[in-house]
Amino acid sequence: MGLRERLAADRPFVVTAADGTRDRLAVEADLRARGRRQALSPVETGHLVVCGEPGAALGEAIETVWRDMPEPRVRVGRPPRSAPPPRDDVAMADRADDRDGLRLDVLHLPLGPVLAHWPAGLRLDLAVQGDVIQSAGVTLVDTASGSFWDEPWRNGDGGGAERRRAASHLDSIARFLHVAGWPVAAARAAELRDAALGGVADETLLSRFVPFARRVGRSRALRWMTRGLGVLTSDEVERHGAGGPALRHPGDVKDRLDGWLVETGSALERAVSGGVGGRPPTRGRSVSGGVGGRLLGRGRSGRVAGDEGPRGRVGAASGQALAGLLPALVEGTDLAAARLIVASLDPDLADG
Amino acid sequence: METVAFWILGVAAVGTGAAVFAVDSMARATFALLASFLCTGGELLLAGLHYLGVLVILMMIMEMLVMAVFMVMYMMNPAGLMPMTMLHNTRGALAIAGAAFAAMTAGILTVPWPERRGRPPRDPAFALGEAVMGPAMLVMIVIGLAILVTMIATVVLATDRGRYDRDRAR
Amino acid sequence: MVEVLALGVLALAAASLDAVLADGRSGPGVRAAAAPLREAGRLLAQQRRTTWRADRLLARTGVVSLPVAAALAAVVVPLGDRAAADLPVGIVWFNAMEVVAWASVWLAGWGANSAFALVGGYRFLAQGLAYELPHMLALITAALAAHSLDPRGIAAAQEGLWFVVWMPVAFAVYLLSVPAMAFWGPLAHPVGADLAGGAMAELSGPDRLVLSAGRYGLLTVAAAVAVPLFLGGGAGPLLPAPLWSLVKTCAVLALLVWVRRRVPVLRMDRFMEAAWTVLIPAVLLQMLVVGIVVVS
Repeated sequence: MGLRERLAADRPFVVTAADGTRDRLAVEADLRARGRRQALSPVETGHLVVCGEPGAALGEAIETVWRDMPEPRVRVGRPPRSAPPPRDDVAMADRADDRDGLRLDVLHLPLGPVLAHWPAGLRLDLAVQGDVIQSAGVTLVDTASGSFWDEPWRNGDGGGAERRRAASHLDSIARFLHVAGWPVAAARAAELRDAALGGVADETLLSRFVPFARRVGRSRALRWMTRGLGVLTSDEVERHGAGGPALRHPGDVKDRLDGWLVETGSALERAVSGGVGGRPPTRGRSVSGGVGGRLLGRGRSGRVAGDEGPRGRVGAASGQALAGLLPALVEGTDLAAARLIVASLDPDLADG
Repeated sequence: METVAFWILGVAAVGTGAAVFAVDSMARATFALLASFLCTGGELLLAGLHYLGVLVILMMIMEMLVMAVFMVMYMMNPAGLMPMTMLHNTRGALAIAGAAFAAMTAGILTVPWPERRGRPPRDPAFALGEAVMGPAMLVMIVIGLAILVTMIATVVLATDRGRYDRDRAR
Repeated sequence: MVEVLALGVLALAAASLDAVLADGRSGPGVRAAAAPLREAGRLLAQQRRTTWRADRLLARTGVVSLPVAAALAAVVVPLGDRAAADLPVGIVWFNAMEVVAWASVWLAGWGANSAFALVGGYRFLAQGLAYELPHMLALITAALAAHSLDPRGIAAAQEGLWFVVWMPVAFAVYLLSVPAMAFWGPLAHPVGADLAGGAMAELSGPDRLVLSAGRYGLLTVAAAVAVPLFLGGGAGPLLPAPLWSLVKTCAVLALLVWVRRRVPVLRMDRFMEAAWTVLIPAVLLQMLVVGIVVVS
């Protein structure tokens, strides 16, 4: 590898397939160890990393992106199953009335599936006027069965369940903070996530998490920028067949972020107190005392009690159901708010 | 040296001004007009009117960009996907422009320009302000502030709901 | 010209400090200091891509005009009591050059023919409308107290008492506008991660390098202008005046880089309201106080 290629590898653009979470975590850990960052857009770099095994539709989107990347190009990951012919994507504009009855241009704009800090395999098809979304549709471009985050529950391995639960939420928090434009806090969340998946002692992990949770949870600027966005009730979540933190923490984007922080805290506390598995998080605000579940009892066995995984009941396709909630939530918002709403739900399409 | 700069800026101002009507994209027309104004600001600087020259540059950049917002924001066609002509009512416009040009040229050529008396002041902008406003300076400053406050208050009141439907959000 | 070069070096230093701090506690700190140079090398070696049916003339104009504006703004920044250009209306000149960034970002965003880039460009105009009026009023407040539009004159007027002491609101507003005009840190929404890099989303190779350099240049120049405006210019014990100017500029830059770590991005759909209903009246009041002191 020449110098140019080595430099190109400094800032890879990472695309994740629905089943690519494990690969992505390895890539992110490696980047952090080398003090490198990911690219936000494909033209920023010539280094493409594909995590997991993309299906045909995602593979096609990746090919389009790959063709646009500047030389010198390097590509890592499994090759796509078929290479479709190139085609010119033209953003088409037409006209429609806006909220105030003004006749304005409408642009049809897809969000995802190849987009930085975006749920793997998800695509939102938007019709926008300016940056305000007039209508939206959702497509699950790439799905998988069996999420990385549900592994301890599916395998009946209770040993790392609570830590996996914490890691899952920390992964969502990291992605959310990137979208919210707080890369330093996002990096910290990712670091804690990898520590939760690695060999760091439970107590150390908790003591590192507490100041992080305090800083993010109490950030006034973050509250100011996120309050009132994407309000969801538990009923709506339930009606769509979704579960997980979004169900237990109804409210706006900030409420869901706080929900993750609280559930991460209680999961780590349960891990510390030896209650592996323990009781699954309970619905409502009963777990929100301080960092979390001091109120929760200890589990007695090493087995995973309950089938409530980090993102909903294991095998219930909660993530795919959450995706169905998105169009109604993002209509009428601007792109920035829509990104925050999507990040605050962080649907995992691999749980089908 | 200054004469050369004067002519270069002058020709560029006219050239970019003409370009406004020759290009087929709103964005290019806007920025051709901006370039023309910047050349005019440069001419003022050459004339020793530092404050006015820099102010023209500052205000015209802001003004053209705000214009770009209003002209283009209703069109989500980045980079002028759909070319459009910048000319409307060509005959009428030509007549009006021709007449205005003739009148101004006639004015320049026929008006007897006064001979310079004394020397230019140390700070021409200050002297100009004194000459134009004189004793009314305090009144003008108060009015200026009042206009600013009125503008801000109007905008704040008019955008009660905001672009993003804040009521619903709250 | 030495002054402009010194500010250029400082811009690089700011980028380095940012890279070091961005790594967090666990990162390899020393190596991160060279990250901006390495990144520059990477971008120089990269092919330049343009999008389909881009308006190249406008996009390139936008990219190139940003560092040019930063350099032109730097000529009126005094180090000690010397600036590269002798312009009696330096503050207005700085203001005019800094507003060029509006055009630069909008042109780069519009010219790329990409929805994300375009939205990023418009975001910066919204940001401009939010920060520019309070920013201008803050500049005027300092100029009013010193009876001068020349940064050297304003610095000289602070003998004994720095302006930051008795016009803290103007100083705070000015500090906020520094990252805003450089669309950097907590005010980097125009190039935000939620838009795949916004106005910079379609910039590759040298184009990206030139615009990024312009950003850090503008950030540094704006931080350096805070010194003659509010922090007494080159005044200070022992060290010679130009050195004091540099030390204070470094302190302002370090403060900005530090604050960046603690705050998420501020979006203009929320911030605009605060800018117009809180910041503008606050600076106007500050100006009133300063005006009364100056007249009496």
